[in-house]
Amino acid sequence: MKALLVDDERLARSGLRRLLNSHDDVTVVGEAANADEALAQIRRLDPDVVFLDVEMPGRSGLELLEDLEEVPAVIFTTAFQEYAVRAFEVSALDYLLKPIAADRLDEALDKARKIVGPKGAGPGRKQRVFLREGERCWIVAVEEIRVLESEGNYTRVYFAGNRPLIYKSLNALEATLDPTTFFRASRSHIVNLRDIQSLEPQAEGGLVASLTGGLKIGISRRQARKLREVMSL
Amino acid sequence: MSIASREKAPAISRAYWLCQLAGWSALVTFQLIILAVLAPTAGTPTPRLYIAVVVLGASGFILSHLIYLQIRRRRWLHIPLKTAWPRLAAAIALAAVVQNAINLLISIFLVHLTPLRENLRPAVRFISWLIYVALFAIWLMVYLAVHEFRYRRVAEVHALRLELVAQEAQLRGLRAQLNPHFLFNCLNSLRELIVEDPPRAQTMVTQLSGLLRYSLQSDHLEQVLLEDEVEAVKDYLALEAIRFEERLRVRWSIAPDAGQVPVPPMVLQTLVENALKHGISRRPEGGEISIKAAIRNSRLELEVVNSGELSGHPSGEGIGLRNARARLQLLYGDKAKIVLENVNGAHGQVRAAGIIPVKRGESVP
Repeated sequence: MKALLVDDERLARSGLRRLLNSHDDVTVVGEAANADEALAQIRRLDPDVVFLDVEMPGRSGLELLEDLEEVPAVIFTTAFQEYAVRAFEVSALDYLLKPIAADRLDEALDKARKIVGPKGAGPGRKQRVFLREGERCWIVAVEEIRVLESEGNYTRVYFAGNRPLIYKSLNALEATLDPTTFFRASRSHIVNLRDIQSLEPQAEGGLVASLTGGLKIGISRRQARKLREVMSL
Repeated sequence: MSIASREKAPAISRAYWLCQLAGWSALVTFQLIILAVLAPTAGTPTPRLYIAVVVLGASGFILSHLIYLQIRRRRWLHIPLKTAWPRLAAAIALAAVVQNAINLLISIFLVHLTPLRENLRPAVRFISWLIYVALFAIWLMVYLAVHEFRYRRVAEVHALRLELVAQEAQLRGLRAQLNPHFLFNCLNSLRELIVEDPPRAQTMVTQLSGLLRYSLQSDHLEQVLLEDEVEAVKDYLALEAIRFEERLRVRWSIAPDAGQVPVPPMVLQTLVENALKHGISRRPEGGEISIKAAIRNSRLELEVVNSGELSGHPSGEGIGLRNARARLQLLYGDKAKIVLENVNGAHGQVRAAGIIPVKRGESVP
């Protein structure tokens, strides 16, 4: 696994590097001292796992994640447990309290191995995105998203019982999504094709898609034609 | 239920007994004096009259005490006025009836001053009853006045005490403590430094101990000497210097007399921490922080200047500074303040200034 260490303190980075030395399958490919450096390093080095300090001067670790189209496996490091980190417990890979205990690091790396897979970055790797609504945050595998719904400059994202409103436009999000999986149903909706259970034709030539979880999404006439081509109906 | 309410009621105060006793015996004494003055001239058998006066005084004492017990037990002073008044009036009327009856019995069996027929005349009985109503009404008014006065005093003292407790709680809440992030980041750095540079790690342990000791010791103090606070800030900056490495430069200028001024603990620390957090740490190239303290016009002026620029929005001020400001306000009122401003110079600078009155005036407990 390729690991990137992000922390504003050099001593914290070298301490973590020392701890990771005993894990043969982990290679530290880079270090970053702030969010901007980290962003560049993530894009350039494509790490499998990022150790990310939550509280950094300037832009925080969370803001950094929001700028990424694709989020690597993230293990948060923090000096003191706070609400922002607790909110993450559900969806973040793991978080470690500094000074980091070796056995907690082992646990976190085990979780990372499960997600990244034995060969590191391969075709099996899932695309993940970072979603934030106010204080709550999620890191979501893109394939888990069922529907994206436009609400002005915001987009509501439906996945696994959650539906946070994200400050990103539907058009901007569409550009980052795989078009073979995500289909633009209308001006205000993008649906995950794998979640469509049935399609019902409408009088005007449109369609209504019923998705797993009971959502129903209308598909415009123009897009319905496209969908028939894609799915060769 | 009556048991419960009796249990709740406080013991009858000594003041009540004193007032009750003094009031009724004053009345009896007054009547006795009048009798002693008038009786010889009227030629009446005085000893029996004296006894009558004393007996009526005693019955008045007992009856008014029964009214008092009713007022307490039924909490007539705590129910709405509309419902309380008729009950108080009824109690007075009833007490006057009993007193009137005792008066009649005394007239018949003890004092044979007037014929029985004259004593039984409704008009005479009514007027006698009215006099007793007036007597008990006066008793009630005195009682209410005293009660109200005492109650107000107690309420006032209670309100004052509440205010004090609230202020204390507020101060405790605003008390600046060592930032836990800082503490654990320090320990994290220290763990690495032990491997990398053992002598420096040892120094770091000493400095961290100094700062922790200061933080724990000053925690319950309202004021500390500025020189003690300065020592703690020096330890703090030395620890931060390990984090910032060569990015942090510090200049000190503490006037000798300023060191003896008592200040609320962690105030200078808060200003310095703020300068680091919002100033130096945001600049990749680092910067300088300059700390000054001097006495001018019997006010202590603290000044922390750092490289950087204030971010436009007020949230950039941080919770520590807001707390410090509120703490000064509570301790010194308007005599103390903290200002935060941009200083225009060749390089951008931010100046945080704290002003604290030097003399231990009335506002400083």
